[in-house]
Amino acid sequence: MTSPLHENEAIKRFSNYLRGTLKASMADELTGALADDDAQITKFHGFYQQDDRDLRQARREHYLEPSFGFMLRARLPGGVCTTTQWLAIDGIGRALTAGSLRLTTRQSFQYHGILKRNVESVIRGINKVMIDSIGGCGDVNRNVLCNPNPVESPVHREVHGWAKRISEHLLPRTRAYHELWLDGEQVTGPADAEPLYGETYLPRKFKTAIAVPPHNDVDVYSNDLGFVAIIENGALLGFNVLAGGGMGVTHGDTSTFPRLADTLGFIAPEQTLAIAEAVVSLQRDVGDRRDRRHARLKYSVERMGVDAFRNEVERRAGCRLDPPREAVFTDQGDRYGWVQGDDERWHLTVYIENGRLVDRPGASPMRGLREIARVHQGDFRITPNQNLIIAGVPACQQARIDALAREHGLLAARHSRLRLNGLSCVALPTCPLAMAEAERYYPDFLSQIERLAEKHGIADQHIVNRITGCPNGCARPYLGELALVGKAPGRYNLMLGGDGVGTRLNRLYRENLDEPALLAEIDRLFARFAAGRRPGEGFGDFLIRDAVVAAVINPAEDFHAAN
Amino acid sequence: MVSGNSSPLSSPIDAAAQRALEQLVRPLSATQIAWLSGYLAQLAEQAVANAAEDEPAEVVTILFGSQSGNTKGLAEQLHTRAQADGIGTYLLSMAELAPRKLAKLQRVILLTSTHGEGEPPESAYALHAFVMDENAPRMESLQFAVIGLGDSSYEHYCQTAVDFDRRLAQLGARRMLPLQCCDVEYEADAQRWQTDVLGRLVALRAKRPATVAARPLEPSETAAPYTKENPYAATLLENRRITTPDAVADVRHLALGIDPRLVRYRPGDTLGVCFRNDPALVDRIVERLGLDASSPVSQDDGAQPLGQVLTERLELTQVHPTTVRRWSEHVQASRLQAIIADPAKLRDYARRRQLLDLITDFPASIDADVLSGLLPRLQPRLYSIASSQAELDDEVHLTVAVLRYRRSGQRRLGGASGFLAERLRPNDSLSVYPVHNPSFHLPTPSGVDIIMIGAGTGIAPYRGFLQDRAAAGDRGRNWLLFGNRHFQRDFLYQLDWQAQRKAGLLNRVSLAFSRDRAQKVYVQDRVRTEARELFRWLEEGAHLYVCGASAMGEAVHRALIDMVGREGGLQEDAATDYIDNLRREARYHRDLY
Repeated sequence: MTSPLHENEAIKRFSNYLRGTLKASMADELTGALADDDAQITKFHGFYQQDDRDLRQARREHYLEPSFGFMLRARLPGGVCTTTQWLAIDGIGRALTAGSLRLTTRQSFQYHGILKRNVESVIRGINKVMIDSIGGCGDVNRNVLCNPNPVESPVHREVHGWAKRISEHLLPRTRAYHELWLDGEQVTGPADAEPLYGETYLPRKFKTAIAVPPHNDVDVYSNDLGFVAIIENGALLGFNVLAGGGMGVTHGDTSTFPRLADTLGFIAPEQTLAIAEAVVSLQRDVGDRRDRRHARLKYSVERMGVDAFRNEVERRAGCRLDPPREAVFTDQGDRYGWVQGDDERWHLTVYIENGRLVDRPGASPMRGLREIARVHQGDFRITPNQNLIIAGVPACQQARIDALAREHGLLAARHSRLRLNGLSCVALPTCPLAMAEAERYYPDFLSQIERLAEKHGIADQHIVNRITGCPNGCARPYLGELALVGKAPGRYNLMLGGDGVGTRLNRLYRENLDEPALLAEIDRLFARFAAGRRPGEGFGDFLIRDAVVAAVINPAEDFHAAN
Repeated sequence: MVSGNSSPLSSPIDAAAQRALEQLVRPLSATQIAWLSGYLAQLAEQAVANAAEDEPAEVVTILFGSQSGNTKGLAEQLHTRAQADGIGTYLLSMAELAPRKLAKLQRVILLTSTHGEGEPPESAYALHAFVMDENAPRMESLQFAVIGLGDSSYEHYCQTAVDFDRRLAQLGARRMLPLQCCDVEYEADAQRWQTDVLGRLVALRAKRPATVAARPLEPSETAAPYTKENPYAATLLENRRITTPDAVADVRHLALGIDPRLVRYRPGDTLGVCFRNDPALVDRIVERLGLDASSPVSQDDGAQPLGQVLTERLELTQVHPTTVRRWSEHVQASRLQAIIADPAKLRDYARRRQLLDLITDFPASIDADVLSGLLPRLQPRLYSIASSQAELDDEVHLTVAVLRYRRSGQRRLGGASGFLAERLRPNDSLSVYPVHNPSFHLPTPSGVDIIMIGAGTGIAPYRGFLQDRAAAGDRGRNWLLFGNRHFQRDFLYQLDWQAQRKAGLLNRVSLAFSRDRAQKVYVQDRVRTEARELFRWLEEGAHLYVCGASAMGEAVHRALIDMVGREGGLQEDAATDYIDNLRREARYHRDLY
């Protein structure tokens, strides 16, 4: 028996290419929210209805609706933006949103707490500096990741060029975004059409990344579509194409699982767009539109099998994939501090805790970056680990920028290795999906793990660690060597066994632990690691070798298997 | 509604008729009864009007124009005393008399208050406008007497009463008694005047007709007649803040429990709330004056301790200009003399002070009796009712902004709002009485569109309106124009309005939150931006309601004239006439404070 299509499919179909009744919803003065269907549609426009969950109960008691605000996520392929763009992003954030900026795990920035009446001004504001938010959320291709590699500038420029081209090639073609937020009036002309997506777009979100080995900061295997750049002697030969990765899981539903992308084969650069389009169109046609839990590409690949999937991609793209080239990854994280690139320019990677830029007494990162942007001659690059690279600094300006960064607390603290390898999603109070705290809680929690690491003499160890407030995986928790996945307020699943380079999924070790239990477990595990590790051995690898957890080989079969 | 508790005064129906009525009413639903009350009210109105025409010589008509209920209370007293003296009287709100009928009456006693800059109370507006009009008919056959309640600290003291008195005489009507003007403490003068009026009427040998027609039956009159002298003991059920902690104003939703057989009100009515002063404030006043709270103060009922008198009987949180003047007699301060000398300065000073400020600004040494002698009696405060008995018949809801400010670094709290919001606990009892406010009732019959304009707590009556219309299934359209400071912080009753819209009742909403954007937007600005639609609604017969602070009311009034001028293509004068005409037709209702 086939179940009916998911209700979102009808919303998309009858939205007239993403218009819905948004005009009326935005004009409705009685509420800060949108009509339910429109709240689905705006995701495609890059913004997401949220409310401050801390205030919900109190506001209901005041006979007030929830404190609705919108999260808007920009499209910023590869995370690169100019200083002019940065100043605009910063100014809009302070004037029209909750006042902070959030760097995301997908190399973009997002605003929180935009009131309905300010949404249009925000979109117009970023548009003035040539940034849009199309497909920031929604069932389309999202912001395209690209290794921000500042050291090898010419290669980065070329690879980043492909990230932009993929992003633009896979953009929705509807004029709804311009019509609703920018032009104001409906443009007369031919009726809208979506040659690639069709009127129901994709069954679910679609994520694309480009990695440049040996760095896997983009966690390329966690994407629906991945490209691994193959470079020889400073020249881009092409890409290994990966498909079918994804993080999201539903608690208690063993038919859902995280999955690493399969490598389909190697292509020349000029085949990139055709392959990307082929994968998207295939997913458009075969993806599950009945159950959104099973609607990501990873389930399509799983259902079809990799060979059949590859054949269909080749047929649609009209080209053959060669056998994949060798690619080796050595890390998932960022390289902090100053490094000099091939072109003699300097690049400063600053650690931004949880990616949150907010000025507080003692540290003023927003102000610091604003002042840097006023003098900086290069660009900014948001990393897939929610950090920021001040890239392309000529030697003569290095001291000045260094001083500004220090003055505003961007380089102040000596952070532990644990902290520098941590990643957190936003979660409470704004994310409607959150089941437990993440961003607000993790800094304190990390302090406690740091003490344990010091106690066991392993503070120098890189341990890729992550936390999310729910199982959907925004901070890519299933690729951490140690990760917490929120289950309920104050309760987390403890995941163990990633390989520290993003090519092995971790596994559930203990379920539903509160903080004392988590710390007790981690204390025991650190003790065991400190006693039994081999030279150079990572934490995750040790846990597998020591049989603390069994490696995940085929997640569809064994992710939920008893450890 | 038809209750065994009706007093003989309020129920002119004999026992048999009462039983028949009870039988008729018992099976009916609340909605049906509400409809029936409107139906009966109409019948009664026709009966009274006819009676007034048919038997003019026999009956004296007592007409009152009241806002706070004081004038109405006085009129009711006069009515009762007249009945006891065998004088036939009809008692009517000025709003209930078709103005043209005035010329056909024979004997009229007019009681009216005056507001702001010599303005008539809302319920007197149409009659006042009719009489003052240059084309008003001659009224040679009319005999009249006028009493005004006012405040001598205002420039246009008792102006409305003066207007009626002068103009009726100009139109050829004959005075039965000279005009009586009463100041804030009106009781003694008013009693004397009543005796004079009754003496005069007896002398004119007015006969009590065989069948006495009381004024039209309103729900609030069929229940026990609670007054400020004889209030009802309600129970505080709920005290809920309805603005966020970061809002400028602390606004409370208060639910009071009442016995629906005893207390009846209609949306648009107000509730008088008797309150006690803050004991902490009393302590500070007593301390500052170096007095002893236990020292006896002579009162009508014998000596009472000063502390108790200050807490329960005297006005402390509002300063009347008279009090300042009396206080100045005990103080040597040229600054105070300068204030006293200028009425505008005096009013301004008084408006922004409490007694504690006055005695702090200008210290003096006085004894307890002198102190109690210079303070006015503690008056109940009136609040717009925010509920309908058609929805919850055993509750009455109020929307109260807690008056809270600092002066000279010290915290000041409003008298009644502080009592309600901070000192009263759930299940505590408090003395209240409904005040009939016919000039702010929903239109009858049903099916008429209404435009509800309000700012701040001025939104209160509209909550009752929509509850009432929902229960009655009234199909008239409803449009709310509301203004406050912040959408996020003080959109009063936001969830209620959303629910009413969902239920199909609230057809249109226009909001003005003044502090949300760089450019301040007020409700009067929305009147201008919504001009086209507003004019269309008015042309289609909509009633217009305005509730809130007087300044807002005036600004909205101005905006309405502009709106009509623009949309109707009218010159200033014609636009003003258009709006004035709405008031004369009783389609423009105001409740301003």
